[in-house]
Amino acid sequence: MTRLGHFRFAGHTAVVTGAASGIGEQLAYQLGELGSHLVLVDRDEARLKTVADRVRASHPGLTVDSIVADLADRAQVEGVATKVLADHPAIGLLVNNAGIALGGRFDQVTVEEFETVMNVNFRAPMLLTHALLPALTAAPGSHLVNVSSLFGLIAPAGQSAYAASKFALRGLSQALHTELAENGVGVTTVHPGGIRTRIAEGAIVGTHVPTSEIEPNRKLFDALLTYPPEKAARQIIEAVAKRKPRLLIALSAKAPDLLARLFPVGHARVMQFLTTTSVKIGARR
Amino acid sequence: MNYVEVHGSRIRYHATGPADGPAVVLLHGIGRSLEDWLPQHDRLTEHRVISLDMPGFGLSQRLPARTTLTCLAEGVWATLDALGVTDPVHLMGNSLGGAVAMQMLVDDPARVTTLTLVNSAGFGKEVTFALRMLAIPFLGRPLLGRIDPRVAKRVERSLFADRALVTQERIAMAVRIGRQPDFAAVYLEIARALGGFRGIAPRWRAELLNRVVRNPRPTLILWGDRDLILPSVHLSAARAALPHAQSHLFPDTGHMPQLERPDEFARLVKPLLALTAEPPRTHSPL
Repeated sequence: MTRLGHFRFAGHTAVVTGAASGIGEQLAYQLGELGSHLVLVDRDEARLKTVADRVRASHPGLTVDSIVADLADRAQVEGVATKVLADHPAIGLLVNNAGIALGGRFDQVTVEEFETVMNVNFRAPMLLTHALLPALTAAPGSHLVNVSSLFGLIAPAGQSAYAASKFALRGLSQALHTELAENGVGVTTVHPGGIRTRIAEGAIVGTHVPTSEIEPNRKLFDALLTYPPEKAARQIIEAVAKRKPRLLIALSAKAPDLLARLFPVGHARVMQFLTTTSVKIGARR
Repeated sequence: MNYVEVHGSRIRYHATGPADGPAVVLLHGIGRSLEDWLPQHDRLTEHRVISLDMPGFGLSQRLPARTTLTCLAEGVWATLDALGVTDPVHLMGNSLGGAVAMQMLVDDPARVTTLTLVNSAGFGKEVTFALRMLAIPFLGRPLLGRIDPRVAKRVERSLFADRALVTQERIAMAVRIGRQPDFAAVYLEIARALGGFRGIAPRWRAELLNRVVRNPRPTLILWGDRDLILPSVHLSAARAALPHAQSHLFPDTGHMPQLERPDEFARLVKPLLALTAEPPRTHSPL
């Protein structure tokens, strides 16, 4: 994808969702260092303010806006888009990073819980990208990042809603990669695995998950989420600079461990599938 | 422009603004002159602004000693002494001038209020091939020996993202500087003192930065994202080395933002210049 040329961060406006913690927070700091003006979106007002203030203090020459919104709510997503378009008729970078998790097997979660995950992880990026397309295509050379997941590549038991949302986001993102190339807009789909973020803390627990299973599951996630978010953010920024269509983060290191825990019996077969996939991806580069 | 005598050498300087109040001292890069700072004299009008041709550069005579970072730092302090500037100053340095500013801070911390480093040397080994070639024996002097208008134009072009800034006036000044009797000697002395063909040497950088961190001052680090001399990736290293600093990366800007983005530059540095010489008690950024 060298056709587009390297993405240049300085002087452009970057919109980052889920910017109050984890990968989004680190992206905010690193984009600020690279001279990008920022629009930071999150539902956690206090943390978002801390992040925005920190960027402002380090980089007095930048414009840093913050928008508090719950992306599960369609009207609030549309509100974010309206606000961004009003203040920034042209944006250089949109990072759909916000995501939530849901614990429990399909029969242990309610339809409402399932839909909330779909709304935050898939509908919000879809709505936001659709609404912000005019700003993204206003100047050639812009870039779109969709943060999918390891579970956008494989779908383990107990992750039906999360995997469905992340598969959907991957599908949208890959189709857009081809479509938007015509507009001179690059698209990167990111598949992180096991990043140390607050996603497990904020996870919804399925209504019908037995109480005895909640704590062990949380502990399992805590043990798996070890990869530093600042390193993940660094990799995303490099991938954007180079216009990489797909970025896998921490998969090689984490996947075997993760799979062994999730599929005590059948993980060998899944590993084989993953290896085949990654070889295919590698061959395509 | 005026001249002042320092250790028996004639040093060229330019001073503007009110004679009282804390001075702002502007330091140019290798082989350059105070002309690199002229637009800031017009903009930072509330302060006493002093730019100078560092000893052996521009139209200043060299000092007897071999040109090193310490020697340049001492030369600038001595020039300020000669100008009667004894109160703490705000230091701003571009490229080599940034390293000189840091050296001045660690040599005499009590005399420095704030530090502004502009595409500064000191934060990485990567440097333009043109400078690395100077380290090759028998090659450096011939290369510097003939700064004709054609060569000068090429050098000026490498400094700016916008070619409109490569004016006949700048080219003529570069040719004039290149004809100074000690131009090549001083250029090579400092280039070889700080690095070699493999780039800027790591040892003096590590030692200098360690000492700068022990004397934290309100610091602003500025860079142009299209710098061909010292790449803007050095900005990350600079932020890691000086975590108390603020920073800004200018879009579509080359090695000298003070010339290429003069208004934004002035706007960014003004809050820093408003700070007074209170020894900082905390490490919080400003």
